[in-house]
Amino acid sequence: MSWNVGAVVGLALLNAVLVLVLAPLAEGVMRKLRALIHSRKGPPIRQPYLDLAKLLAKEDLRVTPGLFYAVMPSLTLGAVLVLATLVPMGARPPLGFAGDMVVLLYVTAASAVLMMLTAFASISPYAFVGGSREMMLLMAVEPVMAVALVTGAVKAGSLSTGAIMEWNAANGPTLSMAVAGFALLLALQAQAGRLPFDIPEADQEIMGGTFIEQSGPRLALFRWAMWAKQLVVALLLVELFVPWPRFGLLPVDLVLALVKAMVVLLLVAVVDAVNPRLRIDQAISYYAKVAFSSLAALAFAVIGM
Amino acid sequence: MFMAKLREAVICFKAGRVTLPYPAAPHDPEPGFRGKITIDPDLCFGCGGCANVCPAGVIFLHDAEQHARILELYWSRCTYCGRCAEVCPEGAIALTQMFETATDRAEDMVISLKVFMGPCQRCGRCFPPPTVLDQMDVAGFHEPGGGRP
Amino acid sequence: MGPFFPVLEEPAYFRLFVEGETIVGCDYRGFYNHRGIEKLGDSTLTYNEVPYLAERICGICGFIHSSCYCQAVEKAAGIEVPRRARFLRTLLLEVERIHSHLLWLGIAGHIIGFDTILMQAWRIREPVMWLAEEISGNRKTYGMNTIGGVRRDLPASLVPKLLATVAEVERELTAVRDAVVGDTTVHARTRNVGRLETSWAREVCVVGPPARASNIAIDARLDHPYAAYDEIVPRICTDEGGDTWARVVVRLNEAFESIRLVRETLAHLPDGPVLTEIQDEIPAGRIGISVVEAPRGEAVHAVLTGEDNRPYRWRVRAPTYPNLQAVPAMIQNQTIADVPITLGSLDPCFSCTERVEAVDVRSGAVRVYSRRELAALAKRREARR
Repeated sequence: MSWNVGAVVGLALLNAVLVLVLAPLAEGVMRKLRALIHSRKGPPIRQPYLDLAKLLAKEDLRVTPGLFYAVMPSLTLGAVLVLATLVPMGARPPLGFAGDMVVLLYVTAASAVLMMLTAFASISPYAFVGGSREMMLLMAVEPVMAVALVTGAVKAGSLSTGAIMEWNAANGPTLSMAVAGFALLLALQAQAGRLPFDIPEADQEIMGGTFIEQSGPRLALFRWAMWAKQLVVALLLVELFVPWPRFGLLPVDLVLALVKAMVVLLLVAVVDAVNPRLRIDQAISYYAKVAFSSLAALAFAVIGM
Repeated sequence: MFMAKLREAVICFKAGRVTLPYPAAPHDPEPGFRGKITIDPDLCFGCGGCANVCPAGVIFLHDAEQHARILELYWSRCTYCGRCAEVCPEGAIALTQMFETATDRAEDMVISLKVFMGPCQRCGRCFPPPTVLDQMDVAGFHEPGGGRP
Repeated sequence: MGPFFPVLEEPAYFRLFVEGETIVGCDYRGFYNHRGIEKLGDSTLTYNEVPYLAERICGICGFIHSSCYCQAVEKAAGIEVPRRARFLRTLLLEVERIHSHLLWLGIAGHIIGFDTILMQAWRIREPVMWLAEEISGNRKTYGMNTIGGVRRDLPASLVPKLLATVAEVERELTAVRDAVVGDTTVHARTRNVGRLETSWAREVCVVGPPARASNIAIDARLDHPYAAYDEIVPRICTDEGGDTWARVVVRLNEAFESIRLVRETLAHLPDGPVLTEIQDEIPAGRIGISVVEAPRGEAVHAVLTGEDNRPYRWRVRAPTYPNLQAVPAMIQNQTIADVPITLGSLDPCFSCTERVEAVDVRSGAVRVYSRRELAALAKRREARR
């Protein structure tokens, strides 16, 4: 298949813009579901948009000087949008290339590292604790994601996410892919920053953690980045591990992918509402167990299941 | 563990949504609710029993001119205990059911009542006239600004 | 952590000495929020006005403070409270205990991040608040106590409603208990967290549910019976764990026990007056001490009667005060993440604790405001606004 530059750029922009625009909507629906579980009415579904609008209109307060600190929120959001262009949404990822899976893992880690750096650059000791927790959680969750993606790579014989998706679409469900997909689902809970793993942002314990010093437009961009990240990783999950049915038409597949991602996010919201927060050591041991068990998926893939 | 989560989910969904539509729909309290104070100017004769028992000390009476007594109630500090209503011999001061009492005017926080009294011919001090007609006779019967709560 | 403590949103300052995330030492500094309540009680308020102030010592457990004060004065003056009034006091005390424990369950859930427990526990609690409003006129500051009895009677028409509400609460609380007891994620956050050894609890004189959860069977309702507790005897709930989970269990069991006590009080409610008319002046120079089992533990009020229909001295010992002394030992070798739930499991009521007047009035540095002066002050402030 030959791609011309215009199509690539257009599709990349489409991916990024869609994620940017739909992430608050996904968050709004998740909040509504959480409110339903809490037996209350909850905010309107458009509330995250209103939150962003309000925050963006506020004064930009920065305690720490420096250009790098100033652009950190935009960089984080940018990293997540780059991730969006590397993730298949209805078709092959627009910026995909052979070996882009590794880049994908790096970019996922990059957004978390940027948030961590922001936390360490903030003055409040609560932010420091939040940052160190973010670091520990990142180190616990990345191996799980890596194992899940490598399983797909082994089955498809390629390190390109687009290729993995197409292989899976063509070859139907397999045991190894199912186990790997489940592992990625468990990792999604932490990547989305949701209970029981919203440890870096434990507002009851450390008053907001990583984002305690952020306010106004900075907070808006960070929040947007978090919401976009949860949508993008959910899309990655459904497109790589549940790519059926496929129709070959971009709009239809895109809509289908978004619907499936929304279902996954609703599941994430339910788990978020019925769980307390785990301690960081408990979360790390949990993910160590998950990583170990997901090696089974790799084993299945290698032996051909 | 899953059974516990399932049971919790069942509790949540069985409860449904309990959010009341207030303020879109009214939500009146039960009778007996201790709400905002109201003073009936026709009944008050300025004995000062309410001022005596108020724990928050927000009712003040003082004599003004020769034949009037001013009662002031600073109800921003009122604790809605109801002791004033308990001791009032005429039942002039009472607690209503009103709880929506937010305002952004400071003047609303003071209820002021001027009670006209007749002075004793011997000592010159005030006492209230025996009947309402006599009361009206004395010097007109009006409340200064903000009198009727 | 503090002085604005993040999870309880109350003023408290805990200086934690940490190694990484493990705590090796703790300093508690409190008394950020002195409100001068005892001073007010000593200076400008008459005997019957103090219960309204006492009610506002705590935002959750007001009725126990006003009851304790009234009982102290009644003991000092030798006033006999009618039987119906004692039963009504017991009824309201137990209703308050139910609402306080349900509130605490929600807060504990919120502290560990489990907001669903918060919402559901408070949803279950809401009918109790409506009921309190119907009985007394207000959801929390009942305003029912006065020296010699209670101000309002319980109309017979309210009794079926009371029983129905309490039955509903029992049903829902049973469902919640059955669900939470098996929840391993909650166990992960509360078992073996904030362990309080029985010997240390005894030494520091911990009171209330934290003591009972460390296997110390003390309960002011049984040890020093007051109101109608000599006739309506509660069953004491203890647990041997000494950790946060044990405290959860003890409070849940106490809530069920309170429901049983409410039913029993209503079943045996006698007829008669609810207020003793006090003909004589209360004599000066008498001491009355009263102990009441608040939802958080033992609250003690001491009153020294004085001239002019006012108490000479009123001293309040809130239950959280001794419990806070146990905190450094409880959080030793825990992580920072466990500090909020450990503190929360004590059910600390900083409002109760933080109103002690520490300064001696006669040192000359403190000015005593007379009633007129305070009134003038209030008026000037109003006029300025």
